Amino acid sequence: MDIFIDHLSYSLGDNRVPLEDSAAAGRTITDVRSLQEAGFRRHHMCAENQTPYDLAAGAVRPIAAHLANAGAIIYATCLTCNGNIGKNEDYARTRDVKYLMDYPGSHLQSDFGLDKAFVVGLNQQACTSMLGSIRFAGTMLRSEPELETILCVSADRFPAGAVYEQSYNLISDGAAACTVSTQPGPFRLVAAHQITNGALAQAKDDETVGVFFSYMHKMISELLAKASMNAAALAYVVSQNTNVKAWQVLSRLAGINSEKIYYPTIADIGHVISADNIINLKHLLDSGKLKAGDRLMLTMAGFGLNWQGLILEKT
Amino acid sequence: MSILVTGANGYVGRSVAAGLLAAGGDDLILWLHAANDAEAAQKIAAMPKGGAVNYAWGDLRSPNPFSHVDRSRITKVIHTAAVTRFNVEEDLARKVNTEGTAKAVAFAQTCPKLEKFSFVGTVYASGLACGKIPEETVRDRPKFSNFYEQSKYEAEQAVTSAGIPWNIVRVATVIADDDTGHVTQYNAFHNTLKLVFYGLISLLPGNPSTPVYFVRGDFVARAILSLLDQTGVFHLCDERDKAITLGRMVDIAFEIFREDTDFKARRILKPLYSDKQSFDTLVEGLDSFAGDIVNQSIRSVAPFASQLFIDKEFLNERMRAHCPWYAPPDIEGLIRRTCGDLVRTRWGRT
Repeated sequence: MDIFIDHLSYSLGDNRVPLEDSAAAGRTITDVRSLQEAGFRRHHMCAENQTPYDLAAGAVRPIAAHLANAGAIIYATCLTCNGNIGKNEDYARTRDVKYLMDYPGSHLQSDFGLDKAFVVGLNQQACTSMLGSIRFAGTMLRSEPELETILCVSADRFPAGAVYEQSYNLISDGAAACTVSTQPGPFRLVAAHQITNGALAQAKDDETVGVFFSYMHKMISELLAKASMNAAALAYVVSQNTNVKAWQVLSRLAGINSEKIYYPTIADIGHVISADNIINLKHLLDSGKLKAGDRLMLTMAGFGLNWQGLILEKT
Repeated sequence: MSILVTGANGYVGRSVAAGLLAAGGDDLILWLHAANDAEAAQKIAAMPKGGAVNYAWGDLRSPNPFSHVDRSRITKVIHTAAVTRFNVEEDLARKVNTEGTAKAVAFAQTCPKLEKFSFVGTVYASGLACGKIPEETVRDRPKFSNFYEQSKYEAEQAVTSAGIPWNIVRVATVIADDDTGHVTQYNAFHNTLKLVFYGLISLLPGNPSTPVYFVRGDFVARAILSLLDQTGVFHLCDERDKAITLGRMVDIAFEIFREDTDFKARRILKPLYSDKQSFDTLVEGLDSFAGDIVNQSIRSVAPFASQLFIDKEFLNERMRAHCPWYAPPDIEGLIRRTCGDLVRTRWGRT
């Protein structure tokens, strides 16, 4: 059964902030010059009253017309706190844990009238969770023939006062959405792969960067093997928005022409947690550069530590 | 008669001094690097004891670092003083290694009973030259991968052009003090393995097939003393077919690392071998994706990276001819024991 990905969408925090301003406000750790050399210029932060659910709704709204046959929603968050939109003060006041189980996926189903869809939450794959959602959606579609379309959503905002830098990346609040369906769409899912190393769950930034190359290389090699293809056959690698030099190094290690690495949004939006791949994929699709048969690799590294990737084929 | 050992508080100088003290015979003048009386006194107190020893001290960057040394009885000078970091700055390398050696040579020229000036150099004075590296002076100035190599090459030129009786002992990378694998002086080799062990670097520069030349500290000291009466250039290293390759060395290190419970649990992957361009790109980006410790550690290794792509064959017939006691070590066993020592002591922390 072929699985297709369609209706790419995303939303960002309302406040567009220059890197220098966030550095001055103490929201970064690394110095401005180094972050600029890494490719970052600006990022997006939620307005004070903008919630992660607002981000999710903002990503789904533009594609809502295509969700009539959605049989499931996979709602992913990087930060587990974004998987509950109940108010902590209500829990503190009542000691009723229902306020810790106010799931945004349920609200999304109701607010968009996706009455036929059941909801699945996914919150332990960090920045890789959108790729993980697509993988699970594909698996669900293959195992439950009555399902036709699954809405995948990921949405995260950092808590007020948080540092907007992780592992030397400038972070944006944002959300992404897409459909995974048995109905034809612009991309066919060819292969998916994930590696988790739980022993590095609380790795320090230098450890995270330290193992980035070897584990990404391993994940990429195994993913390509699953797709029965080699790196040279890739038209593009739609990567996460991370240090430009990291991908210059990794592309050579993996035997991928560095000109095929596609992450044009890094300067303007930074690393949008688990939304980078969808944002860059939409950008690539809209650019008209793709032709039928092109194979793309989407990759992401995240806490956990997790490394995930997808191979897609342009239809 | 007296033997002057410069850099006697350094790693090689200290071992040489200990060897001379153990052998007895000549008086020793041990010259230490120190900036003032207090530092000198502290270092003298830590030196090996026994025999007839006089101490002198100074700084090779000063105009007359040996002005207080009694030259009247000196027959031999063993010049070990040097900055041996691969990432030594150009100015410091020039002042200490090149000009400092020239000052030691100039001092030796004024010693009326001088019989030998023994210069302790590095096999990497051959720079980026590849193929067979004979035990003779480097005829054509090679290109260098760092200022350490360059300064030691230039120091050799100062020695050989001075018109004094000389020899040059070129030392390979010291991996351990002795055959037990115990390490007291950590260099780029040890620091690189440390980064790998702690999962802070997952790519290495170099070709796995490149031979890497390691020696023990006790071998170096013994060879320097055995060769003291000889003339010419000597390579203190094993032959190419007795040396180990970079790839095999990393494989052995990983075998030992994986015997450590913590390392095994963290599932650190064996590092990838990168080409020079990729490693240079990594180094360029260090400020933007590495903290201070990783940044400094990789920068300490980076100046040596070029050598790990070059297949050198250091010849050592002359050394072997004059050191009949020499036997090539079980290099794989030595690396195993050294890695075991590094893991057990957590690189000297415990």
